[in-house]
Amino acid sequence: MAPGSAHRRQQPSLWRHLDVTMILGVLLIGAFGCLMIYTATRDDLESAGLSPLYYVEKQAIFVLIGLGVMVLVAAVDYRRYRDWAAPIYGFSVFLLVAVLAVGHKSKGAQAWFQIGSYQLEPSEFVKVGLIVALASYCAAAKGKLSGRGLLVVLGLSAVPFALIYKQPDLGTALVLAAVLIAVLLIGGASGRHLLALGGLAVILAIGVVHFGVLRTYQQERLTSFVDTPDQVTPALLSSTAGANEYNLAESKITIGDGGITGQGIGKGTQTNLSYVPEQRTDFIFTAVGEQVGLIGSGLLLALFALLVWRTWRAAILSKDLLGTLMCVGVLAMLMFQVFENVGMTMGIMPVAGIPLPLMSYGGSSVIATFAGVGLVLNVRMRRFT
Amino acid sequence: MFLLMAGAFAAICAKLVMIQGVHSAQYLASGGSEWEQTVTLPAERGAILDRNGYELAMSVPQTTIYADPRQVQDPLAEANALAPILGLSVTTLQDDMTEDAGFVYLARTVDDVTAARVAKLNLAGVYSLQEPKRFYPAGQLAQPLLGSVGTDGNGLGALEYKYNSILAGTPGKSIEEIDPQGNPLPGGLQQYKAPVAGQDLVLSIDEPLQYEAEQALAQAVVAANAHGGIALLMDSKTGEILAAAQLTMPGPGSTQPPAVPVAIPPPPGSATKDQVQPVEAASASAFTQVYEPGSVNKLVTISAALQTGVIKPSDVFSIPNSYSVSGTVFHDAESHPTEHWTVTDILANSSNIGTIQIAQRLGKTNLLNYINDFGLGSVTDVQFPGESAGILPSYWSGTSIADVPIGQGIAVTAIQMLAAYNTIANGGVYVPPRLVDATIDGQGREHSLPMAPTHRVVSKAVAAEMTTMLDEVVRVGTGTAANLDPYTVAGKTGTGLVPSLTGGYQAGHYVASFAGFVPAEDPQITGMVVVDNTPDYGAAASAPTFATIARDALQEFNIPPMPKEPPAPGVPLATPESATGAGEIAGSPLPGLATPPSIAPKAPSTTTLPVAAFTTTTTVPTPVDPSTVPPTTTAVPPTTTGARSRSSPTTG
Repeated sequence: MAPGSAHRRQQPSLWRHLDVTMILGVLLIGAFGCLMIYTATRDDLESAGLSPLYYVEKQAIFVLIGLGVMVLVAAVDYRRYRDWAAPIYGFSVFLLVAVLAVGHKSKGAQAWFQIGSYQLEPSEFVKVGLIVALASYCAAAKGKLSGRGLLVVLGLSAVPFALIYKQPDLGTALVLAAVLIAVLLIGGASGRHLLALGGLAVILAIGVVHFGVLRTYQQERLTSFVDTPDQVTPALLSSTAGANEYNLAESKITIGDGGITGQGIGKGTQTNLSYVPEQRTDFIFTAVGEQVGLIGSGLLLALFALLVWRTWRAAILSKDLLGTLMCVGVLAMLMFQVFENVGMTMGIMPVAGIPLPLMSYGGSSVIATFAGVGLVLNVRMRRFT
Repeated sequence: MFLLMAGAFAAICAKLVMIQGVHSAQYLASGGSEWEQTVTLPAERGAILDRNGYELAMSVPQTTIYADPRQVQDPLAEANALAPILGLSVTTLQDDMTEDAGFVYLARTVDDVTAARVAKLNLAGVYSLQEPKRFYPAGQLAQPLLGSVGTDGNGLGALEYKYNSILAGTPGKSIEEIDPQGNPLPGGLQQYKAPVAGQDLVLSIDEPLQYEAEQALAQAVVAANAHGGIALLMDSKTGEILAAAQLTMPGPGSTQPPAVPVAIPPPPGSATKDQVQPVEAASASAFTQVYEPGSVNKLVTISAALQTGVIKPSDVFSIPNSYSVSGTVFHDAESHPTEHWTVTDILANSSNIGTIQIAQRLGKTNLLNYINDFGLGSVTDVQFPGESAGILPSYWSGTSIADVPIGQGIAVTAIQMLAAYNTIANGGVYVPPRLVDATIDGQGREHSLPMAPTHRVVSKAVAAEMTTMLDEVVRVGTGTAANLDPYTVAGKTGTGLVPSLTGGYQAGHYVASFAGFVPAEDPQITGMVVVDNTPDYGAAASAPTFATIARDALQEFNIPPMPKEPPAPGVPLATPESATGAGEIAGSPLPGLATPPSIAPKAPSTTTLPVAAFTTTTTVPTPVDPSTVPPTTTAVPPTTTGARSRSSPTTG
């Protein structure tokens, strides 16, 4: 087949345009994440009689799988994904429905498929799936989204949002919202529509607060950051709302412990003693803050900024709107997750269960992020084709 | 969108700088307070020992039961199980175990049996820890001196309070790292400071003597139907207090156990089968309680007059039946025709009128100077917690020169008067009373406490003259009930009046006291007995009690009787015809008190005493009948001249 052989012929030049800087950044973050997971889990594992490498080995495997997925995602022309957008979206929704039906329940949320000793969290992949779907639909509108088109986009987003919210996983649902807003901004929604949407969002937000759509714990999580004590007091420990504030107070204490230079890798007292709940997953940034201090966490944020910058560049360099919108979607996903995750550990954002990309322990999140990065690499290296 | 991103990044970075840069120290401190646990290691409290090393107070670790209410699963069931064992109500325990706290005491320092029974229940959230508890092996003995220790190990009164810093030691501490569940981490010890055990306190008190003094005093208080009493014994040379019995009759409904077990028959005709027994006083009344000394104070007046030279012992005073000073008429205790008495006679008969005439020669200034020199009006060097300085006349009226010399309008503590008599016993040198001899540190080294400085009050000659006259008080005067033949006792009786709340004095309420020392030739033991608020007059209760406790001390320290010495030069003996107790009723022991079974049975049981002479005098003090006073002086030639012939059958 001619197109196939042509495609194959172009391969060498394609891979020449690979964004090595971005790959290096991704690998650095992934490796650093493994180190942090090791320091945050080895004591608990040892005292439980397990190998201290239990979690870090798994995470390393996830990173390797993620690299493979990234290459795979990058290898297939992103324009093919537009053609497959409908099945991808459909499969995503199917996964979300399935997980609600037969999923594994953990920590109050039904968000995982149990596969052997591994859990698969479909909502992580749905984020990427939605990016592809929204980018495809908006690109087809050629930057001028009609009112009907806008409703379709909103509807496309609302279905997975609702399903994920049902799990419940408010954090991931919010990521979808961030992706939607970013794609709409760049993807050609008119100013009038955006204003209307903004107004609608405000009304919805008020409604949500007033009519108790959010569960109590969700409200407490979202509001606890407003006035978090910097110390853990007995009164704090004994109240129900205190559980969230405890988490946040410990989180801030742990980050603050690090100071400028950190306590040293493997020497974080709060980290070693597991004072911060969920410190290998959502609160991994506390382990970073305590052990490597302001300098180390600043470097990590700089690496994330590098990813964001490379994604931004890829969006600008993209040959077509489809590529741009895909990059923008990934950009919004990365940016929102980093900002929300790091922000919540320091108490400037409400606490929502969102992993820090490539750092937090968890295969689905790592692989999905690599897939997103693969998408960006894909767009960039095909900017001339 | 770019702006949005830049803003978000800036916000994160700014907050990161705030937390890790600007406020890092604060978070570090917060963190430290969480993972570091400081445990206070209680120091062992020192013991309080008597002069022989017997423990009067000691600390022993006991088990304290506490609960972690968060781990208690069924408060009601656990409270029901614990209540009968701990002797607490179910409601109290249930309330404790449902408190919003991680630590609640249920019962502190319970005994080992209780602790074992609680441990056997193995209740969820109920734990135990070790805490020292104060024990007083001698029971109630000397409690007013020792005081008590609170549950948290602080001395709450008396010596436990005064010497708390020495006894308590320094608590140690360990700082260790704990995990969020509060478990210590292996190798997590950050700092360890061992507790420094408290030092032991060695008192001058002699426990056996204290016991005997309390027994004798208890009998005296009951026999005299008194409200309470004080019995003190002091080492004459060193001022060390050997015994300080301080008793009081229990108030209605009191559950305080008797001070010392002592068999006292109920008063005749009493419906009750058991006599109510005295209990330990609420405070160390020898130091804290003031009373009007009465005639005992005449020692100060006459010593001062002799020292200043306004009188000589042989001066003869004309003593009328009544004597007016500044419009107030003074009497002696009994009516008598106008007598011509020497100073010895005045003291032996405890004549108020004679003493007032001597005081008038002495004058106010001299009298007050000597009152101060004898230590009245200021706290002693013991500086017992709550010790009173006594009360000196704040307003000197026309009759003060008559009142104060005979011990009215002045208030003293028993310890002050004891030290005043000891001044004469010591040849005129005031030796400050001493209650704590030494401390013993953790290495077992004994550190003697420094002696407080002594000071001379009267000359040796005056002291000798006073001693001879005080001998005569006991030989033929008002103090015959204190006779301890073959020992020579020097002493003086006193009958103070109990002030009325409405002003003036209460009729029929007296403070009967006796102060003295023995053997008079070379005083070793100085003693003082105060029987507070008795309807009986004078020395009837106090003098025989003095004899009892002084004899116990003589036995305890193996002090033999001394060869009799001639009276001090120039001191006339009391004239027998004057020795009728004219000034004050003679010390005839009260019936219940002086009968041999109650006061003298100790002597036969203590025949191991190597003083041969002592065993022959098992009946001391001889009960005397006022009509035959002085029966023990029948051997004395009825002459006022010549060498003293008050010799005993044996010369010890």
